[in-house]
Amino acid sequence: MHASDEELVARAVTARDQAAFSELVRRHQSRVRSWLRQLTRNSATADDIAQDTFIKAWDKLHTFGGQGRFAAWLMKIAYTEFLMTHRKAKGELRLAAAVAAESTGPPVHDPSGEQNVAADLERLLGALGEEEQIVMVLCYAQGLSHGEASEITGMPIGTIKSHIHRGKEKIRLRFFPEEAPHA
Amino acid sequence: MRSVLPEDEDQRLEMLFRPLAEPVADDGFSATVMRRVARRAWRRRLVLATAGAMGLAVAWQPVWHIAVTLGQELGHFGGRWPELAWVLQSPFAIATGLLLIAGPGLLQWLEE
Repeated sequence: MHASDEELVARAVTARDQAAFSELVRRHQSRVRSWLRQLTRNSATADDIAQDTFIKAWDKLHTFGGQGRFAAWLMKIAYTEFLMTHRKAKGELRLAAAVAAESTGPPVHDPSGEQNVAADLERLLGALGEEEQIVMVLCYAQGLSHGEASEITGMPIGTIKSHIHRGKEKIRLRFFPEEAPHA
Repeated sequence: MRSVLPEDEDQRLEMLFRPLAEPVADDGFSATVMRRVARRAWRRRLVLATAGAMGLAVAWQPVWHIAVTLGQELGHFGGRWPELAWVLQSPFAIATGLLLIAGPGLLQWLEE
């Protein structure tokens, strides 16, 4: 039988069941690591932060009240860990924006070329500000709701919505100019 | 880019951002995390046991004094319950009882 995240959390909390927690790690590692890789642009650093994220989650599992999804709770810990590491080593880590902002020009898309998809993404992310990028990746790549993005980043929901609105506008203006509303 | 994109803006953005959400292979990551969790759990037990032993060593003398005083007071009840007289008059039994009552709560508090 496939246990839900909440059932696994309950087992891990009440019986300190490491097998239940191991299942949670297996289920969520991909999402957490891919999100951290986007933030750090470095898979080794991302994996280190992801490990610390799961260790912290194990320590604080009893504080997960079951309101909202376990994935969002975990992503919040990951984001906090990332910010702490980022502050500690400002010079070493780079947010996606810092790198992507250097690439300019319209996206050139070849449906069969993976490199072009990556280049398109770089340009797409480069068009966005740091916070817009974080919010849009959470909502459109990770499939989280505005409320969950707000919970993870600590930004008010109105700020999330305005980041998304501005991000969409920038993407429209830059990549689909004929769709942008004319003044 | 345009030719393969749907008209709906949200769907289009989901499609554009999709490559960022591609699954990351586990490659031993979960096992590494669980090894760290197991080490941590073991270390926690060790710390708790050490703290418990140190607490016992520190607390024994004052608890013993309390037990001796309590034993003298409780000695009066020995006549009423002769089968319990040896417990009520034994400072060692009283001190052990006091530690057994307070110990688990203190260890729980320490763990939290």
